[in-house]
Amino acid sequence: MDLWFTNIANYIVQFLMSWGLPYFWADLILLIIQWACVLAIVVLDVIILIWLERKAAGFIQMRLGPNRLGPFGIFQTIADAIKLMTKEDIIPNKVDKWIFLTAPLFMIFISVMLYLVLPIGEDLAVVDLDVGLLYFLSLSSLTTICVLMAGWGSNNKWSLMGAMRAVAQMITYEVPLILSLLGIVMITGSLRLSDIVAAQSHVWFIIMQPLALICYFIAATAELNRGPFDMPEAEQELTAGAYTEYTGMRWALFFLAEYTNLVAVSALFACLFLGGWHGPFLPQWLWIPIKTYAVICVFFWIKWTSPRIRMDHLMSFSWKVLIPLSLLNIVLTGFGIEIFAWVRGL
Amino acid sequence: MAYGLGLLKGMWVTLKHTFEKKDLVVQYPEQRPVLQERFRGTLCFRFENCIACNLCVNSCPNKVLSLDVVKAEGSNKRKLMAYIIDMQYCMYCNLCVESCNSSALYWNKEFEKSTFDKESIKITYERPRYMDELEAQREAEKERIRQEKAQAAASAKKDAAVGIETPAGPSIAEQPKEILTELAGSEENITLLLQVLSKNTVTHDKLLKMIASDMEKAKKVALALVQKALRDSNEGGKE
Amino acid sequence: MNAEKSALQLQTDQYIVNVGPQHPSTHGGAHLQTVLDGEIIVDTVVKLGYVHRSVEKIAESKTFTQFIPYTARLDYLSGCLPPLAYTQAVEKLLNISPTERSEYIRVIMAEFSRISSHLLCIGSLALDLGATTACIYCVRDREQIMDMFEMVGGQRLLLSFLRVGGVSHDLPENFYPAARRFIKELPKMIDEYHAIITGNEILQKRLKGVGRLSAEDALAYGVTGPNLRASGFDYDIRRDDPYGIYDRFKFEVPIDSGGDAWARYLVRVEELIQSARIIEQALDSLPEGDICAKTPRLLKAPENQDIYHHIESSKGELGFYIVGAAGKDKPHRLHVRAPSFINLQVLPMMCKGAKFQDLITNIATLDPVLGEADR
Repeated sequence: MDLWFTNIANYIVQFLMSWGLPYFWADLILLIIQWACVLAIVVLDVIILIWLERKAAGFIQMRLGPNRLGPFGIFQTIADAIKLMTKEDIIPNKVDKWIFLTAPLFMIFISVMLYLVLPIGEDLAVVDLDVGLLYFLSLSSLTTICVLMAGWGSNNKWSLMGAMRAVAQMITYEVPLILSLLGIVMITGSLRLSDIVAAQSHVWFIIMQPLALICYFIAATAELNRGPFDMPEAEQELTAGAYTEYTGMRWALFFLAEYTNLVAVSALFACLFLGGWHGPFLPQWLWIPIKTYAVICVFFWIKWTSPRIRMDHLMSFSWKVLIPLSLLNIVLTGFGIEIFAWVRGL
Repeated sequence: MAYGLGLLKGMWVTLKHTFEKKDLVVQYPEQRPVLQERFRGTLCFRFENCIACNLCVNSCPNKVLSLDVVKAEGSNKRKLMAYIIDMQYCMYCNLCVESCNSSALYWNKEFEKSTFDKESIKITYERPRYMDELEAQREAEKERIRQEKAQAAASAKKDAAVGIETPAGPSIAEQPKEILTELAGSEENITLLLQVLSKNTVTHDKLLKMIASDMEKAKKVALALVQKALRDSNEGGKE
Repeated sequence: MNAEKSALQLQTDQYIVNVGPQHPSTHGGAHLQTVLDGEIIVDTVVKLGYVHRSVEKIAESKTFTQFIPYTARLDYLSGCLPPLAYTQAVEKLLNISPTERSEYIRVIMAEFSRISSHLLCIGSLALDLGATTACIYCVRDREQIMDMFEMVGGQRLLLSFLRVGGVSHDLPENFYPAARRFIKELPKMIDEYHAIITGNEILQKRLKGVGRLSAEDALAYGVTGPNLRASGFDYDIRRDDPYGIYDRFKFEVPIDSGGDAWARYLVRVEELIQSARIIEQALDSLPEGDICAKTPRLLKAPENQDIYHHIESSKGELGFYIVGAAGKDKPHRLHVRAPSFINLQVLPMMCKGAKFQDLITNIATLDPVLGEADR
């Protein structure tokens, strides 16, 4: 059961090659199919997630959440998507047209690219890069540039403020984010995500790296512009931040990208700390979504409980608390590795 | 160093509420809200009770209410043709309901009042057909009661007048001077008595009858009338 | 100081951001023209008038009774308080004394109005700072008061329930258990707010030391109500110039010397408890009797006279100045001393040099109601 998808892929390649296609072309077609699958998963995920967030928010606030369309209101997001697609696409007069129009496209493109390196099971990543972790982190920080594009291109003060906040936040939180993950890289000695997951077959890193876990979780929340760190689009202050001028489908693309990012980061969290595909009873490719959704629920939970942090507190928190903590984590991990090696050598 | 504990406590609160029963929000079209007894939904009008006194119109701060009144020709009677409540300006302050003496206005619990255009939010109570009939009935009833009373009075009169003929003819003012002095005494009192009697013909007739039948009783009545007139004039002077 | 320093270092341009009149956090139609240097506020100009309905002018064309529903539209969040101020002012003008029972009913309803207004203030503060859920919890508890108002007067928010000389309805039977239950549950509710709002470190950091207002400045600007008491000045009209029957109840006036947003928040939470205490005492000693004094149908001012009557509203000192003309059933002139309007004037001073996000915090803790500020 673990190998269903691998078998299907193998079957497709063999089927294509039996038609006389060289391996290169067969592999390319497989890649395209995988791309399509990723896209489908992304869209489906977002549709479910938006519903889930609204439902979770409703439940926390002692409401029922969406419950009109379909059982438990699960078709609500589809109706919303149709509405957004049919809405007028307003391009204000004074915007910087190219930047304004392409920002959402870049944003969604980058977000989807994140999924390529995520291992969903053993041998089940679209591309199992040997620098997967680095690829993931660098790409996910690129989304900030799209927010900046949107904010600058909109030619609106609210948007610009939101964009500036996003950039400041990204610069501040990228550092502890990467530093906190260095401990894991030191233990496994690899940047390949499948290697990191494989290293957790006995003990998950949630036990070995609790400090890194906390640092990463907080930094990731800030990186995702979620929860108490949703400064860039702070509704009560900046109306809609960087996305103020966007309407209809373009706005929906930002929304889509944000949730896509959320899933990707949560999946990475599951891979790095929660043992990835490892788990009893269920097949590998089911464990990753379960863990991812569990992490996402925690994100929701925090967001709907906590007020928004202030911009300068956010900065000082990162520089004065998170970065020292993650540096400490690196030191501790180094000692741990040495002690472990020494004990083994005895 | 308990930083973050407060947040965790808050998260515990929200978690507890997540698994509570969700009966806070009324699932509106299917589930109806529980409305209190005094809830002010829509202002309603009972046409039968209205006496077209205009008190509600005067009490309304926002000129929501208006009466369409027609005066019947030849008489002073006001005939209410329509009662218009322009709900879009209503502040639901209850002043009209409080001002109404014949309880023609009341609230019902109908709160779904949205309409497609401004005009149709006006509530107009046209004069119902049965109102003519009803008013005629009421008139007839009043008339009947009046007649009954009159009959009773007439029969009482007859009973009283058995044997004694009604003194038709000269009024009290035309009576001889001696009788007047006997009745009221001084000159001032006579003028006062005559003033009172000129205003009230019924008493005048009664007194006239009494003079004919029982002079002592007539004296007492005349004295009482004079005293009352004196009292009234004194009080009036004080004011 | 902050602003000057960063301006020296970076030489960035200042720019103007128009917060409002359509903005989620201005609590109505306020327009705050804010000059920003990056995220730091250089200057704020409060521009009002978007909710102006000329209530004071309307008063000149309405009889004394007819104007009562309009007063509720001033501070629409604390249902019974503005009508209370107005009716008591008219009673002073016309020399009418309200009945004993109606006085107690008025106190109960006024204190419930204060609780509902403060609950909404706390909730909207949490909402403005981004904690949506805390706001929903506050509104959930306020809903009980709204239900009680509906029981008593048939309306939930703009309760036109007070009359000159008393009240229009007696309290219904089902009101007493509901009121007692609310008073009993209030400590539990406050515990919950403490857990989700007060205890939250992010919120504490955002409130503590933000928007400092010294007692001298507050007095100079004429700030009243919880905002003044949070600056450490002990002044409550209910205690210092008792109106109605407030001198019969025992309650404390919560004071905080902090003067910042945190103090303003805590004072409001403490006032919830004190209001509940007053309601409890009033419910215990509620006498039987008429609910409205015998008054002529058309109220007329006996002589040319002007009076001023003030009460402690949930926002501060709410006063009505009425000039009555002899024999007229309408006031010759009416002026409302609106606490929200006067409290808003300190906003530019409080915000100078603060972060942009503090502007939102300051508005939320000043708790203005624009309907009252613009009138």
